[in-house]
Amino acid sequence: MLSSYFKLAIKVLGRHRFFTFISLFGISFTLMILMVTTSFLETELGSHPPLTEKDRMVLLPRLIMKQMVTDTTWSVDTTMLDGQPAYDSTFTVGKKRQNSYSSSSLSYSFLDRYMRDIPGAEAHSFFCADTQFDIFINGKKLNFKALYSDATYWEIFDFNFLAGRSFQPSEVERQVQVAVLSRKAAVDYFGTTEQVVGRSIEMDGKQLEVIGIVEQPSNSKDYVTSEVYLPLTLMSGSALTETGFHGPFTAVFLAGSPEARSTIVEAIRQKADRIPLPNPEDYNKLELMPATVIGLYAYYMMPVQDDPEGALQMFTLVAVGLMLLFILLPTLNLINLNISRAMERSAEIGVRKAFGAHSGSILAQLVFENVVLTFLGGILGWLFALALIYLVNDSQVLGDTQLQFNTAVFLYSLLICLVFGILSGLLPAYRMSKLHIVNAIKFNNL
Amino acid sequence: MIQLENITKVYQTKVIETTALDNINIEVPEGEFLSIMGPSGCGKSTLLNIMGMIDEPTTGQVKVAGKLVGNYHSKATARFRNEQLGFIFQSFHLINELSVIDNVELPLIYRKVSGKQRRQMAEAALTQVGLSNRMKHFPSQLSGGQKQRVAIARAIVGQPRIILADEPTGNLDSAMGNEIMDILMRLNQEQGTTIVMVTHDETMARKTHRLVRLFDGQQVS
Amino acid sequence: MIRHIFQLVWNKKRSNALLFLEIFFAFAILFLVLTWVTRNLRLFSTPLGFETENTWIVHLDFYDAEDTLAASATKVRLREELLALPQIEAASYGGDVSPFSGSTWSTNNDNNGFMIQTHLIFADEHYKDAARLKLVQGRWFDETDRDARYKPAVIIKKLFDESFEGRNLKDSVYTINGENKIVGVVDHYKYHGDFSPEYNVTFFYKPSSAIDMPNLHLLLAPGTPAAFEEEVNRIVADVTGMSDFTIEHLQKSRDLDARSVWVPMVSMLSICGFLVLNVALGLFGVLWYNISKRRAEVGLRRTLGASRTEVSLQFVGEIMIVSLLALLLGVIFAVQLPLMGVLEGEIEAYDYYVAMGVGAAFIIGLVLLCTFYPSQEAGRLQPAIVLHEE
Repeated sequence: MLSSYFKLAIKVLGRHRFFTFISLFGISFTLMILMVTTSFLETELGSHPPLTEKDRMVLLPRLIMKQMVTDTTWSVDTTMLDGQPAYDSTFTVGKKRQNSYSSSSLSYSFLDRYMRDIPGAEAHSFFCADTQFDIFINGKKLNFKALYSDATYWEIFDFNFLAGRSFQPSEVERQVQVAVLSRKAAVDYFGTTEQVVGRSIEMDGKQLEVIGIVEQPSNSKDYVTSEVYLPLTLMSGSALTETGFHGPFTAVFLAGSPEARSTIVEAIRQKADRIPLPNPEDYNKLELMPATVIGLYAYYMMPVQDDPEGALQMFTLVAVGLMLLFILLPTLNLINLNISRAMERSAEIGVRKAFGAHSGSILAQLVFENVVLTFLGGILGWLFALALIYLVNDSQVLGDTQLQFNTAVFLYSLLICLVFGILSGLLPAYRMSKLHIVNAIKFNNL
Repeated sequence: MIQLENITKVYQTKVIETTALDNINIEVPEGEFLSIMGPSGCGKSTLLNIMGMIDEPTTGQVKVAGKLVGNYHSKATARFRNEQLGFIFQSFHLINELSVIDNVELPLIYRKVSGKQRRQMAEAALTQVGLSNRMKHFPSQLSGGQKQRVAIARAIVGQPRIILADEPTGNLDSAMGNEIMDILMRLNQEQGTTIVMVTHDETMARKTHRLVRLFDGQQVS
Repeated sequence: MIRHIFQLVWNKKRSNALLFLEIFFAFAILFLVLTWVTRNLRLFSTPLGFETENTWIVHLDFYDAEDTLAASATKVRLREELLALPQIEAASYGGDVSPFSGSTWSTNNDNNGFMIQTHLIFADEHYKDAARLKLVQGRWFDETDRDARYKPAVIIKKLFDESFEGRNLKDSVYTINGENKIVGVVDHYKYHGDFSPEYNVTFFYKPSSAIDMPNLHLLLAPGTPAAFEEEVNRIVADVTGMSDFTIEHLQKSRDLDARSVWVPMVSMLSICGFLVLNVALGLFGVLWYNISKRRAEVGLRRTLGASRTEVSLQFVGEIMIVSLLALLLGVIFAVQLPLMGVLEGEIEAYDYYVAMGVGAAFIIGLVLLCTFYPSQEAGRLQPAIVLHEE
């Protein structure tokens, strides 16, 4: 039965080449854009090294200090009493209002003092991803970002090591001058990734021994993407000793399971209330902003202040809304075309019904035909998507992000095709399946 | 085999009411070859459609092969049509995108019949109408008479007990028409299939067992 | 004729409903995207107001310095040594907020009896030459401003027009950030990038030696080779003894910043273009089909004496009426945005109206284009032949 539907579907498509072309054009481009979008989201938010455990991570990128004041309003009412003005004063305690506000990443001393024993966290790491160096080699300038971290950083983020190893706790403690390079940095600096381990790189006035090379993260996030990774004890100046709360550091905590993240988030928030502020006359309220990986991603995209969860909701809403709006037009268009096309086949539908097809099987047949059409469009769209992804990656319009087309994206794409095919085929098919046999046959134009 | 009791069919639009059939009572016994004649617009096609359960009478009772027809849109009715009835139309109504054999297989698609068996049954039906050598052709490659023979093969492939033919020879010249008529008569005689045929052609009608004449929705003989 | 076409449209309301929806949504999407594009292009058309070509910024950091006096001296010496090079035409220290960095420092008050809302930028006396700012009134900072009783300020023309037009600048003291005397007006300073709205900006004076003036702006002679950067790097490292400074090429930052708008804008426009093309092809297909279905009607009309043009016009008219009705509904919705002042400050009413006009005109043009050919074909049908087919 399916094979006969399939044969017929192909024949019908061949009969009206122009209609088929229009339909395929719409379908393939729509699906191409959906596939590229899926690939983008999967690359940015999927679980790949070094963020394979992203669903167990809680980041603490921001510390906020506020001065809250309570508004007090005096008001004087004048009323006429026995021909004389009378005054009646009232005083209102208003809402708490924010007066000053200061928000930034955190200092090492703050993290070291307050954030080492967060309940629910199996591991934690503090790192600074805020420094850049200009390095000149063979008359060429290289702008290297340096990420300073402790040794647990490498346990939480599972980087793919192309060669060598990460640095050990003892090396961090003893301020050993070692560095891990990204593949790109190794190629830029040494011209190769072969036998680079053991050689040294001159940066920040130091000779650093290269002990490992890691693969570039495909999804660029500022807390994993860097050119050089260094032990945090090599930071210059007073970065580690400064006692203020604001500083260049970020913390990451690893929960036992994705669900356990909420324990960590809650614990961090509660902790903020118990930490005494250094200058209460300037700032009297401390807030910490813990965030999940996806929450933080949304936070950077959406104009929501200090609220990654709110940002994520907004991001989801906007993304789904835009997606629906985008699918709407091609779907309407395809429905419109399908109705015109299906009308032409009313006599065939009539005959099928006369020979015992019930409405359900007519519906199934027409929807199936549309799904076949969508999958043809899907294959074209897939080819276009691969080409577009290649172009996007090649031209680096998305910066360091390299779009991928992996199995997950492929499965999502299949699902998208199916949903699109059923969605756009259902209404016309339903209309046709409800046609009265006698009227259908009268159309008389098989 | 077919019993129509007090059948009335009224077409209603906002403005006017047209009576297509007015109190028709017909009984077709099993094995009969009945023809229905009458001028254009007398309601003979409507009558045939009602017998074939593809149109619903306004009032009256239809009993086909012992079954009282209730809901016209149910799956059961579709199934019943599929197993008991075969249709032949004046303008053939073959599906152009399908080959001859695929067209003939059509009714079997809606039954639980294996692909191999479908093929065998369709070949047998085509052999019966003398077209076993045209199985892979497409309708556009056939003459009118051949097309109608394919349509007959399609009508008989499911071995229905009743065949309903709406002017099967109407679009054919007399030689081809006679050929079609011969096939139908043989079917009636050899397999005892009940046949109801609507026709314009007096000579064709005379070859059948019984002739019913309609005029303005009423049975006149 | 019009009445007759309306009648036809109404009688086929079910099949026209989809067409109506399609046009409506096509307009909605086009309107939203064009509003955003119009806004961007409007902002893009005002000049940046400062030089980015051949400009480098050395990002230094003196906050850790223990001996601030020594650090100040180092800063001054660094500037002088660099300026001595023939490749460097001007050098100036600026505050933490540097162009395209995304950071902002703003203040607002109504202490003067009128509202002042402005961003703050700190600059030394050399910045006008280093950034090639254009003065339209008054003067830039100079040495004497170091000891001025009221801190001098230079404002941009937009702020002048908004808050100081017709006021006496010469003799008055205004409260902006402390008590200030406005000594000059420059024409533009869009330091948030080409696609940023022009914010009010006030420059305040700080001497080159100040510790919180860490960014050294360098204006290079045209044609300076890229290799020169290594020399600058070496001099900075030698003079300051620091290694964690970076040299930013301002033109690159400007391009990168602009690209973050161009890329989404071009991709949105292409997606939009595809959607509209899709709708156009669909329209063409459906119309083509409808006309082939209505050949008999055409034949009849011709037999009854309708001319070719009348038949063509009828088909164009039918689609046109549906489209215009859909556009009307779209415009009724769209016009609410400027009326309610949605996203005021970011998007102006002008953007909305331009987008509405261009969007509607585009769709009407498209509909005409798509209906023209099939309708012509319909007009060309021979009545005798068509009627015979029936």
